[in-house]
Amino acid sequence: MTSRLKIILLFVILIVPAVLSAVTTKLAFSRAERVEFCASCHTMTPWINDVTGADGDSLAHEHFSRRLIQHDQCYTCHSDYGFLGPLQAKLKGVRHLIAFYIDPDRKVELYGKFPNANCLQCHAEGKAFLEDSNHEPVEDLLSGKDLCVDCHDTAHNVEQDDDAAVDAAPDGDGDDKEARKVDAVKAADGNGDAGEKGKGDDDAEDGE
Amino acid sequence: MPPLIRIALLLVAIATAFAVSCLIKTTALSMTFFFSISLPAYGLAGILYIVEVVRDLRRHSVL
Repeated sequence: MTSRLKIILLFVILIVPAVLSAVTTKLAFSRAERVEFCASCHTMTPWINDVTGADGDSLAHEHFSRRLIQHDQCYTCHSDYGFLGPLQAKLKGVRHLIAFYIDPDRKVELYGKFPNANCLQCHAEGKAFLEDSNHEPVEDLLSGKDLCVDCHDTAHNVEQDDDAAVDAAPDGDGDDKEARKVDAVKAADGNGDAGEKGKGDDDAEDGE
Repeated sequence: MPPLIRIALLLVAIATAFAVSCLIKTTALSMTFFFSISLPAYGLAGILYIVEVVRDLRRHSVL
């Protein structure tokens, strides 16, 4: 090999790929937070339609249509709040792709209970949240003893193949929870403040 | 051109194709291909290149 060819190969095999890898990784990670990215997987189409559609009464739709979350609406609610949250969300995304490839008919469900921290990252300091009597005792919500989605359970209005509505959490049981749920929805309808709404919903295929 | 370099170039070509497709339109699929095919292929190509360089140096009794 000539000296010139050796230099060309150094660039072609080592330097250019290193730069291209770094740029692509950075761009891909930032683009993966957008709603358009989530919509690129057709499995998510019903949820995307619910969020971005003209009509809707789900929490996700309200957050999107009122711009309570400015950008990256899916990612904001569905990546766990914390140091490793964003990384875990992306790794789960890859697992979802594999799970869907293996079993396309699998029902889309949450891995577990929707964590309060994902709601409270925005709502915890809100006046409307803190002053709402339905949230008392607030400490139970902050500690995770009570779940936001126990009352705010219409995160998405989506029906899956078995015609079962997908809720973020198990149905509230008892009159007290139902009453609180109605209060919360009324309060949410009454003002545009972000302080009243919790979130929750689908996000994953369980048990991969 | 040594066979290892040819293989490395082939790997770089394949990896670049997936990387560019991910750059043009980032979807769940293109991103998965980039991370599961392109990055390992780039890594393998780099290793093959270095192996060939070391071989070449040994051939010329530098190492």
